[in-house]
Amino acid sequence: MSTSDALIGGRSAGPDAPAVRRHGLDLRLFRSELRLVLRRRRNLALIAVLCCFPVLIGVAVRASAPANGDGPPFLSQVTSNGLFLVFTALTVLLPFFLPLAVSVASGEAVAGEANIGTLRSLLVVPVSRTRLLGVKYAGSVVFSFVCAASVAVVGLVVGLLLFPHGDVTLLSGTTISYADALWRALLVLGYVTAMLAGLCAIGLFVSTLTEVPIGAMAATAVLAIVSEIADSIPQINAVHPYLFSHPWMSFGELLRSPIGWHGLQTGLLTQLVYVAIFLPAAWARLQSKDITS
Amino acid sequence: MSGRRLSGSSQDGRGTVVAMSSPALSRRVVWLVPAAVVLVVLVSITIPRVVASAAPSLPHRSAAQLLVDVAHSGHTPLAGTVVETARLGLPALPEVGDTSISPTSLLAGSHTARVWYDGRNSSRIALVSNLAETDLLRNGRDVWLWTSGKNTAQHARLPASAPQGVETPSPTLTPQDAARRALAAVDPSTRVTVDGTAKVAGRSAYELVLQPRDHRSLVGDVRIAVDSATGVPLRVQVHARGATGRPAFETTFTSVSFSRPSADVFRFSPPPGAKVSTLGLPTSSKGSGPAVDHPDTKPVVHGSGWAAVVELSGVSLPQSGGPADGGRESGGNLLSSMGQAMTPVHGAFGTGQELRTTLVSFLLLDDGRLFVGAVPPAVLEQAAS
Repeated sequence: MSTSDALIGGRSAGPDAPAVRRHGLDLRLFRSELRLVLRRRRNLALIAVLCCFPVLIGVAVRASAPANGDGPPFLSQVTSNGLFLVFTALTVLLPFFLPLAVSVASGEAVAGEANIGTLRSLLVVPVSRTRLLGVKYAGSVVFSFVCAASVAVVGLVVGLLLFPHGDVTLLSGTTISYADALWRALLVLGYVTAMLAGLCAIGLFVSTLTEVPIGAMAATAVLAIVSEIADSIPQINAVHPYLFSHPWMSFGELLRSPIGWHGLQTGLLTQLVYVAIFLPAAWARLQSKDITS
Repeated sequence: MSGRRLSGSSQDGRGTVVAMSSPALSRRVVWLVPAAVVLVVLVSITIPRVVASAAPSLPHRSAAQLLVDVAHSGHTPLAGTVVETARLGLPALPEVGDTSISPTSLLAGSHTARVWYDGRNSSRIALVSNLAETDLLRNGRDVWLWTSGKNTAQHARLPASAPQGVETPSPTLTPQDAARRALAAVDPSTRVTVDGTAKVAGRSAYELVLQPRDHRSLVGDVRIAVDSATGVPLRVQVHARGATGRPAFETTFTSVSFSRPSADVFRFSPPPGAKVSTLGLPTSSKGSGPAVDHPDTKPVVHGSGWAAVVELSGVSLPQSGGPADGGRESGGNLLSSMGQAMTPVHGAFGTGQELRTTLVSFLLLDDGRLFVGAVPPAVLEQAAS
């Protein structure tokens, strides 16, 4: 099953009225891409694995409460408020598992179609390469959001089931209501998605370089890990602000009072720069590529 | 062949690039787009830096006038972000899972703090790391020290007669604190000059330079960027003697605004579930202290000015290689790695270990006496014997 199958099947009107159908085609292309990304068994398995973590953490904390300051950040707060399960789970998953899932989806995007030989037929539909790339990128970003949101929702539900819910203590020691905290959790989710959008662009570029999807996935995941390792070496702290993984954990700025907008801005700007570089690079590569399969 | 035609025809249908006539040229041409983006990004990163580092032109002000400006700026309300960087040559450690911030960890690496001051008697310093925060708040007579990683709140109540500028223990050095300390050292031992202007946190500032006259001092100069409008010190840089390039210690505002912060910022009540204890003033309580035992006696100062040597007794370093207790906290970690970086010495003063950093030297004798000064170790040994 590929994006092209759905499209070719639904191709009824002739190519004589492209301007009228352009908008409808984009939507249809995007919908079929979403269906493809969100129905692929591999991706569903990834989401399922991601969702296990909040459950695992919740049950473990319920079974034996950690001492203050033990384990990952927020872990000790989980016992007093279930909402912290969302933040703990995101903190635990953001360094490795979320980027891995995103690498799989974005690395697959173009290389996967090329690998099973559907990229060519997709371009016959006719879909311009630019549009195809745009839709593939949007698909990867939506998948990133779905991954992060699944973790958050499962964390929220498990937290509500196993732990008390009431006012939430922020990093600054200020207490806010549960409803306010839910808004902040939503903002955290948005920020985390934005952070992964940078990796999506890199993954998409890598994906245009090869016809072997597993290679693109692995390379993207490796790039994410390299960036994180470089970020943890203090001797090269001059380059830290330019690493795409550097601002990932800055979602904590949303849990301060007042909110540290400055740090968030920096993080979003970093991702914007990476997207601005790697999307055109992916476009250039796809435009200049011989599509033979 | 057929593949080429198929993809080519699809492009024609959409009216986009990849002309079939000269594919080799267009293949190179499309790469101009990402190349242009990279160029734009590089330029937009570089230009603000160049513009920001360009010295603004300001009316002349003498060093003494600037000293007064700084002295009068103590009640300017402000809110901003401060970045402190120490390059003392101490071993830096990777900050992995660092959730608690101890004052000792400020001796290595770079740290960020958010500061607020209402111009009167409320102030707040929030030492922030990725998912942790240590807050020191003063709201009127109440002082709170909140540590998010440990979920502890320590409280102290200042005496009613406390003067406005009472010194509260601060987890970091703001530019104001650092400038005040440097200015306290201004006496015949120091050459004070104004060395042009600078842009700091988007504001134009005068560069006040303090140079120790005593050549034994490891400090080459202290440069204080004084805001031209308010007189608030925006940046303090300490250069080691003879060193060129980056300062050995630096604390600078990266963003600042001089409007009065909202009163909510200074309000604090311990959250439910937090461990609340009493904070001893003026030294921080033993619980949050680093692994150095508190000295039994008051420090003795040998000499004066920049070459002064401070002597503490009853000091012992934690046993190195004990990850069980000191390992997790980065401060304890730093101290034990400092212990490993020390070299054994012996002389007329007895035996001990010494450590030289770019700005400060330490001499720890086996009898528990610790000598610290911004001087080469030889001066410490002299003071010890």
